[in-house]
Amino acid sequence: MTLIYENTTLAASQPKTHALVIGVGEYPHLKNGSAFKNAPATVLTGLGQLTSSVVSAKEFAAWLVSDLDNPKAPLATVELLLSPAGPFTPPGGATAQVEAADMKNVKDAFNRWYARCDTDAGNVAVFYFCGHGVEYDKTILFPEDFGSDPNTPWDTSIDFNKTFYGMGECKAQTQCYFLDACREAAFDALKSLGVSPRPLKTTSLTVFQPRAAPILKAAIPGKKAYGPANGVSYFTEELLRCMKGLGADNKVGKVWHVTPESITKAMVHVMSKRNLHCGKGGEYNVSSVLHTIPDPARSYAEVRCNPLAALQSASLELRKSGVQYTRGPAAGPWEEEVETGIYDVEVTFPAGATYTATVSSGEIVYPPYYECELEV
Amino acid sequence: MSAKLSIRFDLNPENNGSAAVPLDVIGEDLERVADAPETIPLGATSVVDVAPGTYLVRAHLPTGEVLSRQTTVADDQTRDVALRPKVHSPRETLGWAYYLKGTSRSTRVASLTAAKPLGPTTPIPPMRLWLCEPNAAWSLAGHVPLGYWPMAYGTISADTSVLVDAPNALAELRMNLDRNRGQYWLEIVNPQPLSRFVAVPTSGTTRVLVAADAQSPQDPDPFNAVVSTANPSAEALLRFMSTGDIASAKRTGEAVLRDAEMLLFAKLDDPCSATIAAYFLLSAANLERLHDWTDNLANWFPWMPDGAVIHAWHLLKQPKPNPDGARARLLEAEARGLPLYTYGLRLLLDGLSLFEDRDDPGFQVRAALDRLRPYGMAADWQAPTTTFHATNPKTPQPLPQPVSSEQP
Repeated sequence: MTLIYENTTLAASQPKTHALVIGVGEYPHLKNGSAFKNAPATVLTGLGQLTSSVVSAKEFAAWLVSDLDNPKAPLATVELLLSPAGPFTPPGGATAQVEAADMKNVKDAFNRWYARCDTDAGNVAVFYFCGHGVEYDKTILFPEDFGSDPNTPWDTSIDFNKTFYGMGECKAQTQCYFLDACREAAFDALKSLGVSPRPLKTTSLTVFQPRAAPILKAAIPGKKAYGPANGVSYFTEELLRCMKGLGADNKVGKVWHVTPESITKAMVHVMSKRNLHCGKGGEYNVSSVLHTIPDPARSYAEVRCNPLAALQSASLELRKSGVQYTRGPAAGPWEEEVETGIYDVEVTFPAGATYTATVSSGEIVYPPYYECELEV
Repeated sequence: MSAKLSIRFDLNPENNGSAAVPLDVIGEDLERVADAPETIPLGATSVVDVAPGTYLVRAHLPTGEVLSRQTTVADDQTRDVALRPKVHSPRETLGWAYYLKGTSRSTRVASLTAAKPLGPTTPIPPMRLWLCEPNAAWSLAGHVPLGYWPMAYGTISADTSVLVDAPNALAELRMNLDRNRGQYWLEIVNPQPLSRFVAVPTSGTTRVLVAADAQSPQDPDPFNAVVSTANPSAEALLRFMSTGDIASAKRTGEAVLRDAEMLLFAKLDDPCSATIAAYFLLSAANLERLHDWTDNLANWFPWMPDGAVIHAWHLLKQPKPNPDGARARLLEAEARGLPLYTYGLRLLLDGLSLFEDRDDPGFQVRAALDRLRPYGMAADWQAPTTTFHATNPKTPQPLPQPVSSEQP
């Protein structure tokens, strides 16, 4: 099965969030794959197996189930496909045997997901993919069985750009596309004739409705995405951090909003902190909320001393009622993810130091980042 | 009870013109002060009425830097708030580059402050200016600086003394090519392995800052060219869009759009600002604002492919799409040349690809895509104006990729 979460308590007329999450780590026809020796892909043979895709997809799916909060469009369904196929236990749910992310299963799951999203303009469609991808003149994503047909290897690849425009016919006016894929361009192979990936949804060219449809991509064209082996990829890790608070903006009362604009800006910033780029695109023609966070949200704090060298003997503290963050002496600015709020920021030094202890009170810490320089 | 915040920028404002940037005034409740202005002009002081208290004041620069300052103001007091960028323009006359565009492709502000030249004395790379005319007719317009510059094209000056003030700035070029409007491309010659070709939109005086920008010691693409036409507000909007700061683009874009509509209505000659405004409209604004002026933009400036691209997408996105008209405009755009803005290149590629599987008399769409796709593969998709790599502008090539064994 692929439907690992379904909320059947929501009213039929209630707008809903529907997610399609795909994680592909096993590619039998690529290097070191189970079928590579006897039936290798005839293109892009330099690509191999991935260890972080399934972990990342599971992490994202789990977060959706446990934490996505959109009162105007509550989470209704999560379709999940993984390669290798296997069990997945959503938070608070029963273990499901998730099907493989081959082209047929991806298309079937996509069609179901599309049909659900296409019921109401207030719906939110979330599309997440983690696996191999290349950038030709468009973004191409690879399901598990890429290269299985040596005569038409591209039949099992996804034309994301055409799919994106095809989704312009979907009633859901909010659509999020998170592509955690290497977009390495193997140009020699791509120059060959016949690069013809398949869209999951074509367009009839009769409907291009306005929508909020951010596209966030790990890496930039020609660069590898990164992540630890067998761990959550950096892109997905940062995406979740942004969803949990760094991507919040516009506090109203006790609630922060994560919007297409705020998540895009936050992702660009947090990825740059890792010295990585976040590709972005899409459309932002309507206003929308993806997720709400009860106060406090999160912010990326950077605390420095002037002069900078004082940090090497400084003890730093950020504190507010019930919350405290500390760092001991170290070279370089103190970077820490913290709750939003009003803080006292204090720097102290050991006895005999030539620098002056300082406290700055009433510091407003707001997403996505906060900076403070203390004169010592 | 009332108080005032007198907010100004601690920077050299020259050449930022009337560019406005988004402003946040955030109170101790972590909510934005409702009556604070949405934007603040660079180079001017803005006074904001607030209740007494502590505030976080933030301005979002198009470069991605957020200038912030905390302040506390008492009843009946006016508090001066000076917003200071981390990266300062070394000269007043380069403010347009450092505050509105950013001189490095790196997104890390810290790396900008530590920008290092390629060597003790970074040689200024040779540069050439190309003119692309319809049907991919490329010709060499001149050498920069000043080696060979036919006056028929216009005027160009090159100031290489900027290197004295800024470690990574190599030359500032100022071009006025209105005498012979067209698609100009600056080639930064870099034979190891490929030159960088950068579109130079022409509308009044266009400025280009050429900078050393190696992201690593082996960076095959060690130079950057920052391009700006004479409308700071439009250029700021373009930069907001290209850095993904859509929220800031929306807060500043309406004013640019309004001005662009007025300019076109008055048939005043600033197609570049109108083009930027139109791209903003297509990507982030209310599509009901699309009017006939996109058709005028395409018709009045036939040397500019972007106008045809914009009109094509207007025809697709209007309440009753006109696919036939859009197809014709997309083919026309490709015949005119390469869009001058990266966003336009994306829309042209995507637009043509939507038609490639349909009835295609004479295989026109497929032929256009075959000519265009190599530029897509060779493009620097992070650059705001269209940029590609090549040894010859007719044969674009992607940069060779470094070999890495790191597994995603």
